[in-house]
Amino acid sequence: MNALMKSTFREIKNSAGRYLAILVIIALGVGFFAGLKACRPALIDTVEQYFEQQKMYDFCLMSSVGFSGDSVADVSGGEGVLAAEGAMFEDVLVADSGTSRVFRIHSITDTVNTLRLVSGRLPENADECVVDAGCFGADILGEALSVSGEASDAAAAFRTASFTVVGTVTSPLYINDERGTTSLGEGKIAGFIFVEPSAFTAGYYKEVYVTLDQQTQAYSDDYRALIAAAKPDMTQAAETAAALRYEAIVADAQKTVDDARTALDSAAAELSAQKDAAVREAAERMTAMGLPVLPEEPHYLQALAEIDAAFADAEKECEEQYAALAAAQKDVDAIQAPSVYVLTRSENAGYAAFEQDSTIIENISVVFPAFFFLVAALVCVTTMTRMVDEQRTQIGVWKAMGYHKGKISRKYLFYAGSAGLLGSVIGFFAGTASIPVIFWLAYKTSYNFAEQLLFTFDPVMYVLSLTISMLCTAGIAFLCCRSALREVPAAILRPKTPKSGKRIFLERFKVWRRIGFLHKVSLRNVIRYKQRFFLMILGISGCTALLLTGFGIRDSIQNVTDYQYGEIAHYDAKLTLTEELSAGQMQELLEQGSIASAVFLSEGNVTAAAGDGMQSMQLTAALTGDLQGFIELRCDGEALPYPEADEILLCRGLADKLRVKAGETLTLTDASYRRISVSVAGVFDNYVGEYAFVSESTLARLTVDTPVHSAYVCFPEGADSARAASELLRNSAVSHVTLNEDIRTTIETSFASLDFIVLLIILCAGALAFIVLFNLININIGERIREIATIKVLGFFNAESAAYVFREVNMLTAAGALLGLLFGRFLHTFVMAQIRPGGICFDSRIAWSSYLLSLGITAAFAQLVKLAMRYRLKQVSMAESLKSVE
Amino acid sequence: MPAYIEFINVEKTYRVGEVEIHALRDASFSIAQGEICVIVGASGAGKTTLLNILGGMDTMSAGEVWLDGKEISRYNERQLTAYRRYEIGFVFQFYNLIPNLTAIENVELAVQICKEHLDPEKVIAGVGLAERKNNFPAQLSGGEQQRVAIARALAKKPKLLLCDEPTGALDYNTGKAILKLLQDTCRKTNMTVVIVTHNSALCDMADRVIRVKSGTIQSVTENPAPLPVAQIEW
Repeated sequence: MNALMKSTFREIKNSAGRYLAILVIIALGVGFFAGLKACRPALIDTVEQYFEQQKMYDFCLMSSVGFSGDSVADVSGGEGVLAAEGAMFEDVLVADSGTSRVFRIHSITDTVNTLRLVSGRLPENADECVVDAGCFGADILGEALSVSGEASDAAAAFRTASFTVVGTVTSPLYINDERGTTSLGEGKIAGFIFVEPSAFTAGYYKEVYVTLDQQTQAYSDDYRALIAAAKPDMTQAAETAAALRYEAIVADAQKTVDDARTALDSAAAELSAQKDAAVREAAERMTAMGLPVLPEEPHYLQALAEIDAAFADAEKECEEQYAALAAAQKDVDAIQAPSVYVLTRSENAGYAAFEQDSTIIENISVVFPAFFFLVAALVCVTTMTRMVDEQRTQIGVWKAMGYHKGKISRKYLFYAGSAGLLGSVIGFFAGTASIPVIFWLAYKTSYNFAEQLLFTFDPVMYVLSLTISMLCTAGIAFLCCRSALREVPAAILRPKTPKSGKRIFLERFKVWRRIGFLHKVSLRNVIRYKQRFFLMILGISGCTALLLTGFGIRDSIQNVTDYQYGEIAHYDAKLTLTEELSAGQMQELLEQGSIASAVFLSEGNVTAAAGDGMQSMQLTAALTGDLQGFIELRCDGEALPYPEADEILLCRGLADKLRVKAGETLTLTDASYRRISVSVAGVFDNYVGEYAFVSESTLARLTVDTPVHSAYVCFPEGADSARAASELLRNSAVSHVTLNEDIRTTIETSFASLDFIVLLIILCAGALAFIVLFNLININIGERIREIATIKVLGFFNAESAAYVFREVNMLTAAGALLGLLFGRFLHTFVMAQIRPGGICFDSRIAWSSYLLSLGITAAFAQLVKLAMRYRLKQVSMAESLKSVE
Repeated sequence: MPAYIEFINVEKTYRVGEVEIHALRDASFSIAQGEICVIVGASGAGKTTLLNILGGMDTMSAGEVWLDGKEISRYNERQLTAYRRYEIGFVFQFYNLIPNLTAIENVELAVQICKEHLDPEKVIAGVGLAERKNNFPAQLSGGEQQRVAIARALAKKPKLLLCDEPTGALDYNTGKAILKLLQDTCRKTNMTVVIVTHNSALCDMADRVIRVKSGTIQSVTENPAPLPVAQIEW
């Protein structure tokens, strides 16, 4: 090892504090950057692995008539199809310790959506089952579940009324804790059960799951493209298969009618033959009696009348049967052509929720790291500038000895660069290994597919992190020593003229004289070193800003559901109706005990355009022209009236997306390209969901052929909403109930993970404050060591010396923290805009307590660093004051 | 009754790893109040150690030190700080002014932690810098900076003025002017002044000369007729 390298390593050893500061801030920046960026890939790789192993479906085909076994075989033979398998399901009630819960029983499929055993084994007989591992522990094994339906056919759907549990499983159909809704019981499905297909009595399949030959990573654009490309074929296959089943059903029905007709025809023929025979017999009798067979003959007439009377009943019956037959034929003719549904993974609740959850992190993973890198660069600037200043003489000596510029600068490049390299390696692996795991801790509670995340290594990210760290360290070091190296050796060997004291602008004012003069020193020092001034302000304000953002995110999210369901949306549920209700039906629905009040609506989908903004939206029209008591239409506290004809009332989220304000004009286009212009009557505050209200007449101009009928309902005070919903579902006019309570819970659980983000932000803010303060105070003490030794000789007590040195730190901390509140406000708004998931519009208010807390924690961090640095101050030897100026 | 300043068998030993270094051995001497005392020796002789101990900046390994009837050697750290604060005025070879403070402010810095002190304005005028009191150290010459340093030490009304090579960084004439200032101050205010130097020419201006060599006191001589600074040359 040559002398220069030795000198470099000793340098690192002797100034371990500074070296560590660079290393740690780089590690933080890289760790944060790479860690946040790794979250989504890690989550998706993990779920993808699960999907692959469990053969997650790509398409789910459904039809209103189901599918026959033969047609499933046809689908599986289709082009690009890897496997297709028919499946059945049925919702049942399972009595469980006194209460009964609704479970969905699926048939086990072997080639798609395979089950993963958590405990026990898979069923071998038709009377065995495996159950949802999310609902049951292993202690359920061996117990018998008896199933029943509220309608008799539910129980009849199975060959046995009781199943023995032989295992607990997870299924790719249910990767999160959402199990869906039903019209049975309380309306919510508690869990799933899988049984052998042979346990079902039905002779046809309700759905067909399909996997494609071609496989790409779930959630990728490639996957979306693949699905979009395959969808027409799938629709075609589903329609063909459904048509087959439809034809079979119709043919069956027709055959029944035809058979009945044949039987009836022969019966009718028989009857008329009998009647003819009777008439003939009567005529023969007349002939035998010698009477002429003439219509005028009273005896003959009487005989005929008797025959008619005898056959009247049978003939009438026959006619009736013909009428019934005609009706049956009509029914057969009226059997509706099947509607088919081609569902993809996106319609699976778990799959869709996972995508949204993993995107939240992605959006904020650029801002925070960028900030840390900026601070890292500044830390490096101050450290390296100071180091080069300190070692001017040394540099001069190396130069005088004939070392080349490049070789000398290598020392500084190595010093900073090695800190950057080590920091980025540590940060990269620590970040990518820990941050996704931390997020997973939060998400794991609502997803069941993996205990641990896969570790993903992305070489591109690594090279990127490394490059940024090298720029922030070695790049900066190069800039710092360039100027010193340019001077001739003689000039460097002379000590650099110290920066002289300067009067600052404040001294021109009278106030200056009133400032205690220790404060004067500090004020002058603060302004003397611009670099450090900025680093300090940036570091401290960054710390406060991060804290405020962290607490602010918590405030905004906590409040959003409170505001929405406490102040804005007063209705408890939205009903989707099967048809437009007559006044009588409405009355009937209202009189059903589970509803306190309701407002009936028409809805239609349109595309709205304003300027270059385009947005598809659902228009809602209240039939009564008023939403009082269901939704508060308010703008900054002021109530807005329900829109008149040709007016529209938009929620804030939609208005923001379209960039329109009250008074501007929107063009609405429906699916049939009818187009109308409406003026925006107002924009109302709303946080969850998107609403656009128009009058009924406006809506009628757009959606004449496709209106959807629905209603907002309020339940009676204190009603159990799930029970009320299931009662409503029993009404044939109600096809679907969406409970606001459910939406609220979903949102709140989905944001539970944000608590971890807040915690992470607070930890990082702390680390930031520590590094910046430590670095600056350390350099400050190093630089002012003579000054500190001198004031110690002058008889300053330790506390006084500390006050003397730290006063400027205090000033800058205070200034930085206050500025940080301002930055934090912007950062918070920005972050909230980034993490706006579908249909949720955050309220970016921050509570006063969060402002105070952010200031307080910043001050506490600063205090902690000062406490540590007081020790260093105490160590300053007074003998330093006797040394010559270097 | 001990003398104003009394060193009794003072020892100072540093340990550097396994090696013991005796910076000072068995040093005993005394200095009377109002005297100018010059401690002279080559570099490494132990004079700075003497100064550090006398100035309360360092502790000793053995022995006793007395100033004005108080035993300094028993002081703890806090008491030593108070001792430096109230009893000692210090003049450094490299002035050690606070670069960010003007001349007058540097004096105020020392004064504001003392209970009894002189008016900074008067002291700064006394060292002949009334006109330049609002300049920053970087705007002053070496001699002027040393005057400010002396003013800073004097303003505290110390019992003892300790000077570490006060002329070491100055040219001949300026150095002489500074020494004259010290001598005059001593005579006028009856202040005890201890000057540490390697320049034996300064011995002529002293009432008492202590010669140090290799960590031991070589000799203590009293000078019955000290010369005015103007008459000494080197």
